[in-house]
Amino acid sequence: MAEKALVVDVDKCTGCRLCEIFCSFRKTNTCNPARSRINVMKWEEDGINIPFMCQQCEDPLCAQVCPMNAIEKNEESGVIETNYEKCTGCKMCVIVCPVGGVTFDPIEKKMIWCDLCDGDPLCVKVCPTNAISFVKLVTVGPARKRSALEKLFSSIKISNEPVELK
Amino acid sequence: MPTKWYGWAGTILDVDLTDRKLKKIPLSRELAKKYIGGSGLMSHILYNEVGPEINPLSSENLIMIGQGPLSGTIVPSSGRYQIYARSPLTGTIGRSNGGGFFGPEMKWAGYDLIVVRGASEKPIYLWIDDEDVELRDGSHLWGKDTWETQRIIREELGDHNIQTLKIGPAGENLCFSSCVIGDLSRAAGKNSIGAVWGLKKLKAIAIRGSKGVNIARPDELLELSMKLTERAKQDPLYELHTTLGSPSWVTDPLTNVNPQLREITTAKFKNKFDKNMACWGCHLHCSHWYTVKEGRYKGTKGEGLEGNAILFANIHPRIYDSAFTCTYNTLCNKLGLHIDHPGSAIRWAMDLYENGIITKADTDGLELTWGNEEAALTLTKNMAHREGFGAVLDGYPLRASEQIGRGSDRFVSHVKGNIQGWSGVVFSLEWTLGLAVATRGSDHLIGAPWVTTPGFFPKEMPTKYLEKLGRERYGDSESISNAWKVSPLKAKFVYDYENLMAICDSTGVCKFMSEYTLFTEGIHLNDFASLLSATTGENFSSEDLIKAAEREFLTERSYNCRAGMGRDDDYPTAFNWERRKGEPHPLYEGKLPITVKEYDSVLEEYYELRGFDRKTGLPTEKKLKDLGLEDIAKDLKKKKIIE
Repeated sequence: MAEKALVVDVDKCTGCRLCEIFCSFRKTNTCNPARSRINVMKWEEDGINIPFMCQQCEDPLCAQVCPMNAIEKNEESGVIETNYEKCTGCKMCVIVCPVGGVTFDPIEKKMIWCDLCDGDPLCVKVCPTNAISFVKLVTVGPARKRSALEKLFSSIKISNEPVELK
Repeated sequence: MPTKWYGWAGTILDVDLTDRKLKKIPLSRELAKKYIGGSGLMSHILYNEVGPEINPLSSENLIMIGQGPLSGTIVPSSGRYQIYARSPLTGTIGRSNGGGFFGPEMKWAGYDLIVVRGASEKPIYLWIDDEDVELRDGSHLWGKDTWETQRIIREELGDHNIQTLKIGPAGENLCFSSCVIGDLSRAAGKNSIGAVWGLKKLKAIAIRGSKGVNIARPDELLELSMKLTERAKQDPLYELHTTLGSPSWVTDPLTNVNPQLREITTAKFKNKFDKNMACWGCHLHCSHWYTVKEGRYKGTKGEGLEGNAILFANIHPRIYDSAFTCTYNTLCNKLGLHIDHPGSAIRWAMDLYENGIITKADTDGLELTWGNEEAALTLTKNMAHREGFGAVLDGYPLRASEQIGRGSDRFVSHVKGNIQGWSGVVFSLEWTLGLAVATRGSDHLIGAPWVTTPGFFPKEMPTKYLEKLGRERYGDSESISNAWKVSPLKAKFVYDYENLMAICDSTGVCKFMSEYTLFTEGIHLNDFASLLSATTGENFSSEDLIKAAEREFLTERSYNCRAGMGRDDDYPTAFNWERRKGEPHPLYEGKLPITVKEYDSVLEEYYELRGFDRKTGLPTEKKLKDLGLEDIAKDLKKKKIIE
């Protein structure tokens, strides 16, 4: 089963934060972005909104550093899983994660990560602009090359005619 | 044993700036069920605590910020909040509404309502971090624009996700044209409430919430929310609204009515709108991030635009430049100005100048000819700082025309002292009536149906469509499609519409997701009943909501009547003039589609529906008692307002 990932198209994000509220709702039945596994980072004075979440590292530092071996990357699904029976709440995973993918749920007082909703991520479904997609990782690089080339060629002229790749 | 709250947070934060005392008061469940929250609850409190003897620009006035039981939940478009005070502009109930991100954060921090009383000697800001509340020195923020204020607060408190409400220089200078700004562009605009903040030296409120909100019946709410979101997509205006925002159903339709306005349609803005932006929790993303990439205003950036911006920055002063609009919008947001106000005032001043009533001697040497962008920008900045002629203009409409005299009142448009466009007798009878009877003065956001105006959307909502709506809702195919049909059904239309808008404002849901924009497939009253029941666990029926809305309007009406208002204040500009002066308004004589008498007949039907006296427009004791407002009835009788 090819590993899939959440991919964000920054230009499409309107900053509505529906992904956050539905994530918290799905996981906790309450509405609370502090309990969401996805957070939208904003640079308001530049109009930039970026939803971000655990990147499901191939070699997760959180798993390496956990003194209770409570964290494991599932080999089949690629999802990082936590055994909360073993977890002591030492927060080393929060400290070591280079992207802030692990956050602290202030109500249940435990560390939380995106777990891709059992392969059917809700944030993807509720995003009004399809800014988040859930795609096979192997396709991400080629897709980006493609859109980069379209942008590049729109500013190049061959024989005085602009080239349009669509 | 504290009850668990669903939907509501369950706490009122009461802040006394004079004594520096902070109190947390449990929300009364009885009050919550009776008034719902938001506007309903705050109308009730304002009536009880800020009487007509209290000067709005004094420390005895209250500021209240409230959202509602649906705010900050998965209910679509549930990100709005209200800010109340007694209005310095009109002396009426002062209500304003904002979007963006402050409201939900307030809910998650655990507060349904924030009440600010008294006044601080020095500038301060309120910092609310869940249950930790603090009054912090704000002297270093005083004088700063709203963008910089938010920046500094977030840096100083070390959290970029803090949400803020703040005033700019306009509020600090107690301007009538001031507002409160949430985020970078979300204006709680009407009724000059920014000035009350300025008087209290409350520069900003910063908030962060991590407690979230509980939902009584999560599965039910999820199903309802998804259904409503999907259904909205079927609305005729969904496409326009989600791509181009409110200008597409405000200023563009006006070009169908007045071809002269074709110079400033949304098409002109496409090269400035970089992407769509949204308020919290809203799938309609009707705002935009704009940047001006060339020309005189190159470098302008910001968020917007509402149809108002184009109405008041372009159409009013006849400045037909979309880059100017973006620049003007950002300027007003940074200064903390309610964009309608300087736009209207400048239009008035240009009318006076072009008609020789004022000269350069009055205007600080500025040439106030139609379309003069430089003058408009200069005057706007001067208004925010109360400088020179700007100080006079800030008093628009009534104070300014009194100050100038010389027949300048001929060009004034107002209802209850609040700014209005033109004669007020335009678009449709329901628009005209709704605008004029609104409790906070001329008001396009509460009782004035807009998108159903005949002729506005020949493609999306043609005549046949409006006829169908009229048949379905009122059993009369002309009730909506005939703009000026003098019929009691027009009063019913306003009454129904007002009730629904009141529920939006009591629950914290955006009107654009309700019938204001999505008239056919948006959230209706019965949907609100289901949403409230699933969210709060309390049973609400449509009838309960109608009663709650009636309560809100009766409370606000009583508030205004206690302050001396009555029937005379329920007329649009042209008819107000005619009644007071005994002659037609000179600018509109012969140009109006109905007469005062015809308007009167529909006004009286409205009074009947609301339970006001048909002749005087005053609340009746019977209706007050029917709605459980015996205290107000007693108070009004004691003050000899009603018998």
